[in-house]
Amino acid sequence: MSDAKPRNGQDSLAGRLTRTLIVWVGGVWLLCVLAVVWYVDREINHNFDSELVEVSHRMFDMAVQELEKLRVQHESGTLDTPLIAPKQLFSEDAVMYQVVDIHEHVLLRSAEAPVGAFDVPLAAGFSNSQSWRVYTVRHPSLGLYFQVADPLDERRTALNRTLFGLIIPLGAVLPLLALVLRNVARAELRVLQQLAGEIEKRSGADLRPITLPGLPQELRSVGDHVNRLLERLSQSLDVERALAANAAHELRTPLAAARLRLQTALDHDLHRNDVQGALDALQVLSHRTEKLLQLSRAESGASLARARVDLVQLAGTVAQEFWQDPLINERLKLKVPDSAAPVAFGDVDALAIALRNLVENALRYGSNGRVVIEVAAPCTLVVRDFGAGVSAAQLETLQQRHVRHGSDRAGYGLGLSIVGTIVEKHGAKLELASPPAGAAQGFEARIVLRPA
Amino acid sequence: MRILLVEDDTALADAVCSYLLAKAFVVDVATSLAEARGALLSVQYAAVLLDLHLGDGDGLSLLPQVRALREPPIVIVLTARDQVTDRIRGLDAGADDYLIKPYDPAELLARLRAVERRRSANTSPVLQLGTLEIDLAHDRVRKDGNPVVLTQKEWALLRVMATRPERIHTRENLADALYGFGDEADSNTLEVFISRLRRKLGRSHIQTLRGLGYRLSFSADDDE
Repeated sequence: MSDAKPRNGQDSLAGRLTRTLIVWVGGVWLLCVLAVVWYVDREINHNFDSELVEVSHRMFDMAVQELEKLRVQHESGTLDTPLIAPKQLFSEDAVMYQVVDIHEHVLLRSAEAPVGAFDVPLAAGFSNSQSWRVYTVRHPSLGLYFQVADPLDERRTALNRTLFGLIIPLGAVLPLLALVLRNVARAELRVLQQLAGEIEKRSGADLRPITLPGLPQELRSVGDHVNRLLERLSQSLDVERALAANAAHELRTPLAAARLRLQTALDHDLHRNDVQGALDALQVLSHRTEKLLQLSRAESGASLARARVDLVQLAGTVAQEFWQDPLINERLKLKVPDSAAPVAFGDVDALAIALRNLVENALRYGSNGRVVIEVAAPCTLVVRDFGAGVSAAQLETLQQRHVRHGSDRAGYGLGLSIVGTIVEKHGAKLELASPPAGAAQGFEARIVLRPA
Repeated sequence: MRILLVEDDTALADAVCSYLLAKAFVVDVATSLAEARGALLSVQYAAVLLDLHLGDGDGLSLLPQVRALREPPIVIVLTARDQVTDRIRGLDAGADDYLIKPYDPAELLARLRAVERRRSANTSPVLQLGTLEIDLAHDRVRKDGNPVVLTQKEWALLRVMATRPERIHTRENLADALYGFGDEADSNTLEVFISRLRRKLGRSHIQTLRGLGYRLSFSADDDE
């Protein structure tokens, strides 16, 4: 039993928790990074673009003037190669621009700009070439175009830098986070191991309830359920022991009697009295076996059904079993309510056993007088006899288990404890009275059930 | 009287056989449903003693065939199933009686004797209910020693109840007894006849059990 306890195994709860959490945290983190990257990319592009627009507005006119000036200086030569504009004093950064005529001849370029024309169509607005982002403006009157460019590399580098800045800490922190999560999970789950340890300690000899202070709510309910299970187990173990002790005692006596009688009968050439005695002993044995069977059935509450039980029908069926005997037919009376139809919730077979036992007791101890089965509203089964009854002190001890009713030595007294058990399993009440209310003498047992 | 015992435990079957033979009953044993079906076809039995748990099925499945016979034998179920639900199931299926193993041999004998009596109406006993005497064999009822005159329909009702005094008789059951007379036997007419019977026999001798039916009551000292 103890070897089936994986402490550091692949499948520990802490391990599972850590793995799942890491996968999810990492996943969510990655998603966030992608979202941030997308946003940063957008912002960078936007900023670079607006800078291009600004530069074009600022420099177009200056570039046109520059072109005029340089054209005057280079009056003589033809313009095979574009003129190079001198560096502006106030421009802190390198600006790449070209002034292009309508035939895409580069007339003027800044020092940093490439010699050839940008490979983009001559239309106002933004456009991308292989490696450039170009903004084109058209001169309103001169038929010239002004193109400012940014290398796309620059933007990519900026984006990559942001991406690395976010992903590298993730890669570094994730293992750290895993370590922390695992330790936290282990620490929090230690209480589970304690609970498991406590449960493991329980055995047939030790069924004390589990007491662990400071259990979280989920585990407290597990603990409570285990405790309830332990209680039931301990009860049924008690019953099993009592039953075993009872069974041995109750069954051995008549068995011994029967064997003795039969042996004597054989020795005496089947003397009539001996055979009769053996038969009587076997009769007792049959009866006790049946009672013990009923008791064990009543005790095994697990098999009890929970269904609607029509008490009138139940009482009628049980009464008819007894009426088979003409002598009992004269003594036993059934009373059912005139208007109400009591229906209880429970196990019809178990309730029949209980009622049958009460009737058997009443017939036996009722001094051969009348016995009444009554079904009373709202939901009560009553069995009443008008015999000698019992004393107050006896009444007190009657409901204790395995105490025999009356002075009979035949051992039928298991009956009331069977009734008690069945009543208890139904969450009902067994009320005993002697004498019954309004009678001079007798005994009354009431099974007060909860209406369905 | 010839009896069919349907029982697959041969030891028990032998014991029952020798017990009943000693009491002058003729007993045939069937150890399976199939054998029992065969026996029922060839012999006219007065009673069938039926075990429920048989090798080839549930003993209750034999009941439809039994009931379909021209003169159906009485069926007494002998079983180890002692739950009240089993008993209700058995009686609902049409069994006449129900004995639980280990049953008292004397009780089995008493039930068979009752069957015997019912079959030979001439030897019917006189049923004594307090000061009331019901003689089914001669259609006579005496109250305090004085003869009571009953109509045919009243007799039909009383006969059903007095033949099986240990039973609660359902309204349907009793209405069936009236049905043979060709009248509209609805539940109102049944109540009319019951109340007439009560007037003639004494109120307390027929007990109404609401939701169950009617039965003959032995206790004349009614405490209601």
